[in-house]
Amino acid sequence: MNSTILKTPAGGPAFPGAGLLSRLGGDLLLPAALVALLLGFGWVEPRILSGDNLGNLAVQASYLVIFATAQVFVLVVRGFDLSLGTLVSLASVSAVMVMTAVAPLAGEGAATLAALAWIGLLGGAWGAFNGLGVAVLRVNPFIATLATANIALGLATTISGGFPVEGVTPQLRLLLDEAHPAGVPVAVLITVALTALGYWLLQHTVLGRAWYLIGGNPRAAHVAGLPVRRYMVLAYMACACYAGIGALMLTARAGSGEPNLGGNLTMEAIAAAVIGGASLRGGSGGVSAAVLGALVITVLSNGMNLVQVDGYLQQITLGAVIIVALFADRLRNRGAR
Amino acid sequence: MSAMTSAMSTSRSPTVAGLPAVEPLLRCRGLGKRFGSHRAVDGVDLEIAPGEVHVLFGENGAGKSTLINMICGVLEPSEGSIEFAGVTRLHTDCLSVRAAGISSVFQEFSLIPDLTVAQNLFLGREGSRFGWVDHAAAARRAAGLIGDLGFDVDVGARVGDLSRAHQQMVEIAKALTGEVRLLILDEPTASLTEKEADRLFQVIAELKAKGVGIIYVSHRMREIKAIADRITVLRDGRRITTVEAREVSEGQLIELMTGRAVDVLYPPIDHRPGAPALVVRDLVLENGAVAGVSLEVRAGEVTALAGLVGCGKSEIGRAVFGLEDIESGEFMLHGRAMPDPRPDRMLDAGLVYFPSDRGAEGLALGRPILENTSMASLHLPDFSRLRVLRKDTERRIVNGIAEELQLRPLDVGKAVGALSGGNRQKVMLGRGLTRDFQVFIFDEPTVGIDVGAKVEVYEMIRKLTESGAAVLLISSELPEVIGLANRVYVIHRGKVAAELQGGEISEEAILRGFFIESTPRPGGIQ
Amino acid sequence: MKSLAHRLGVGAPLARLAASGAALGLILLALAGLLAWLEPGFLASRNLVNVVRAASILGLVAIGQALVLIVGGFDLTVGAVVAGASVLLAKVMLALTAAGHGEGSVITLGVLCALAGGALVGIANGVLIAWFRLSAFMVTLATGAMVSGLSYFVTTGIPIYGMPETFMAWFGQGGGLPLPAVILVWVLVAGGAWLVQSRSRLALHLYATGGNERAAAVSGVNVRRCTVLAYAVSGVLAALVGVMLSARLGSGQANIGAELTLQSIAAAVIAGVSLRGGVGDMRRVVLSVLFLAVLGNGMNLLHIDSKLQTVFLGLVLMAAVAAEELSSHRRKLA
Repeated sequence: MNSTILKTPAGGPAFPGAGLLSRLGGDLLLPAALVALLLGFGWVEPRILSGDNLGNLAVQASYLVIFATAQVFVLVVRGFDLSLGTLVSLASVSAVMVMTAVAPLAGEGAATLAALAWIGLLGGAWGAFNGLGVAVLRVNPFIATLATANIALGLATTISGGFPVEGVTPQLRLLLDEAHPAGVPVAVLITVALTALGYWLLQHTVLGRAWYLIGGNPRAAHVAGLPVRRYMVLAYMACACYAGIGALMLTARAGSGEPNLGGNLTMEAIAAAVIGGASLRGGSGGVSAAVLGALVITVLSNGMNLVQVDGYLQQITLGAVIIVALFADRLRNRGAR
Repeated sequence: MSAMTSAMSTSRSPTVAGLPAVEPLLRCRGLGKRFGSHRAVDGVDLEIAPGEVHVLFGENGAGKSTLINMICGVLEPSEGSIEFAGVTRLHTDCLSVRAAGISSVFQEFSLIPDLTVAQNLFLGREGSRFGWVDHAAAARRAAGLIGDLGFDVDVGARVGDLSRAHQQMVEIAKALTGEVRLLILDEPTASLTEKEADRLFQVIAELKAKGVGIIYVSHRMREIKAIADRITVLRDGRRITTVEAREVSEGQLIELMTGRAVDVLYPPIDHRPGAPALVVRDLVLENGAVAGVSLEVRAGEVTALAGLVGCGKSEIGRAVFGLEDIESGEFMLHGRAMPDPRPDRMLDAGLVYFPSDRGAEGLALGRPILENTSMASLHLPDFSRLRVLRKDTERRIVNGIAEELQLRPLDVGKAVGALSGGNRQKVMLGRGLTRDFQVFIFDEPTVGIDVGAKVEVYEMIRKLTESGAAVLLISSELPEVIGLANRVYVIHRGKVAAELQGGEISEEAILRGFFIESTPRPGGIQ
Repeated sequence: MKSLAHRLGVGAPLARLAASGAALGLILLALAGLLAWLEPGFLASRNLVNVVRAASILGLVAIGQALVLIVGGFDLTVGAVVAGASVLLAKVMLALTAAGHGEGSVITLGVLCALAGGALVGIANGVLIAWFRLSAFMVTLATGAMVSGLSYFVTTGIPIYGMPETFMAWFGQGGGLPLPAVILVWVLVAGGAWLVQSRSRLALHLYATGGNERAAAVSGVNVRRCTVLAYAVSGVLAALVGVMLSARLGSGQANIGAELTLQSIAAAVIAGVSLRGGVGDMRRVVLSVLFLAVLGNGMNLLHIDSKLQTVFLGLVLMAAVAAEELSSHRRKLA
């Protein structure tokens, strides 16, 4: 019988180097793909690598990075936010309405501040609403946020009448869109700040650590004394606040409150996070997933635009990229577990 | 593999005592199963004769379930061969194994909660005409089958609505639909009452008479004595021996199972009972699993809750920690009443509970050792300041604990899911060393871990006890209870059936408590 | 961890009520009665036909969606498949007509191609999910985007006209029949689904697959085949809706049906189909679809702003799922 001992183990995670391989796959595969994508497009169409276009790309990507980061907060706790897109619409129209209400009374500066405060308020309240549904009423996050997505959509179109709301203050435009401190577009700076904050939250605070543990195993987190429900609600609040800030930035760029601003954002944000390597099973992924995924999607669509690929074909490509990312995730997990 | 096995199938096993004259029904040769580098089963030979009740005996983690999983085709053997009714099995496929007449009842049920009993019984084997089934006929057939077995189950009921005992009966009945030549029963009486268990033994006797071979996994001496023909003892994945049931005593069996004299495995603990650290009074749970339990856990000694699986002993520990819904009763921790227990409050009050199901409740398997160890202490000054993690101190502390517990591998960045059962358990127990606890509740601390890790867990319990902590050990392993505890509460059907102290603790005394027919001791427990 | 409602002690009676289809039926009747009282126009036969037609479009898709949910899956492609089938149908019909085929064969082949297309998408979903064990949510999100992208790419967003008149007369209006064809199709499909659910071996296997996949596999159920079949049926039913809608609109369009994806999930969930799989009753799916159609129609008749209606839909969905969560307390296998 002893001869069989020499045979390699059937399956199992323990062959040497598996960890390293999967780590390489996880950490470097996507940046490499991103660079290859850029170079590939640049080879076909050199304008893609021009400074102008790269700057443009950075601005385009920054919004999606914010929304994907928002989605990562809830994905980490095994959650999901389908209401992100319609919340963006609601935040956009309601913030502009706040500005138009405050501006005649207290001036445009105060109106701008009021809009910022309103976004914080709305984001916090909306996140708490979603979080209560998921963590306290224990409704499946898909359904809970699908329901609130409908509510946000209804509110956004009702208060705006379905038309763009004018009245974005010049200050808000300057603050969130037009400023170029040190030559860098302010949208990019805000995004860098928000992702840095997100990274710090997830990696260096008790809250972030708890989010990963809750996502990894909510029962175990409860048994270890972590306030699971409260922290889950906080995750949804962080998500909604980030979505609100992103919405305000997009509003500043568009110049009006748009009831359809959210459009496909929900799905794009989830797709970005998943392509970047965040798992729908919770307990994994981070800000880097949001950044990388959003960059991949943006580079892909920017590149395809410049080489004049039909917009609908781009949608098909995105679908294929998601499926490839799912396969990659599957393989990575096979290596790690 | 197949060439090798067919060549071997002609040789005969030399070690089987008193082999029946007939050709064996099942013959396993050198059967082995590896998970990564871990050998769950290692070169096991096993023969089952027709009409024989063959008991597999061993500690948790000895390889019994892996072995029966290979026999019934759920797991693919890494080495060795399985020959059934003279045919060597070439590939693993649970359906064809079932069709060949090997049927099994596992502790984890294979029932669909939203189908009825009758639908569950014939699932996958429904008689149908062009894909249409006759539910009324199936219900009649099911009622006949259940009736033959003497079970009292409504075949029209949704399985999810049944009690665990009734689900167990359905599971057994399901295993007996169709032609059965070898029946595998894994602790089938765990949730049955005495009467139901006796009925099951009658069924087993009837099957025996028909020449059905039976592999029976159980820890219960009384059952083993009552029904076993032969007993195979497994330890650490190896077959230690196969003996005639009537020729072996209980003591011999336990020594064969643990592989060492009891005092080597269990460190002598210097119990110095102090003040009661944890007092439970008249505890009743909403789900009825605990029905009026009072007990005391003293500092400086190991108190154990002994009892059969499902007797409610685990729920007592869980309730104290706030994991069960409490109907009535009260707790005192160091003399202070704890009216509404919750994990975070109990941890802050100095009590920690280590759950039995590490995968479900203890650990986030996808997260690193580091995070799993510091999980319960994140808000303490050593680990965070103003809710910001102090990662350096955290790493230093956890590294220290990992070294103390001899964690292998000693890389705290590694995901817990990649560790063996014993090391996973150490990670969870390591949590108890990240802060200052005075009361430790261990729920089945050695389930599914190897003997080496067991010794280390026992050593940890000894150290904690001797340093003055109060330890409550909840265990279904009798030798463990006898070897470690200074005070034992025997739990039976959610009540304390006996309280034993020091020298009174013996296997016989505990077992008497296991099978007492719910007659409260005069005087009760105050 | 107890749910709020459980703490309040309202769990058991509510759960029983929610679990029995009777509650949904009663709510539907009450709603209809209320509407008839508030707005007599509700009972006008024209209005009723409209309500049931709207219900049957959603109803066909919801049956497929419920089936997928029962096997423990999720189908976000249905809306895209409705549009895709519509486009495919129009393209095939135009091509066949141009090639000089008779009307009969144009209609038959066109419809068959559209249904086959739906089946193909479903099978692709099922294979990716059951064989490669990818997340149903993400897979169907991606394939949905691909199908939808393809339909828009092919049509560039412009409706395709030129389908045979007979096709529109029969499938759009129901030929000489008193009711629109889509209603009859829905009645037939729902009846068939109920028959399968209550009588067939297949139904048992589908429920088993969603209820406890491992146990089902061990018992001899081909869980992969069941999963793929459910997605395929969902795809075919969505394609069927695409065919019926095209006939009514008289054109193949890429921009129809998108709202049906989430609506069908909402309808199934309100009917008590569990997102955890293994639970669901087609009769209640029919009731739920009728309920949603009556609710929408009622809000229209009462002149409630269509934008505000989505808010109501959200609230109804939330309430329904909270009720389901309560009843699921009973459902866990010990």
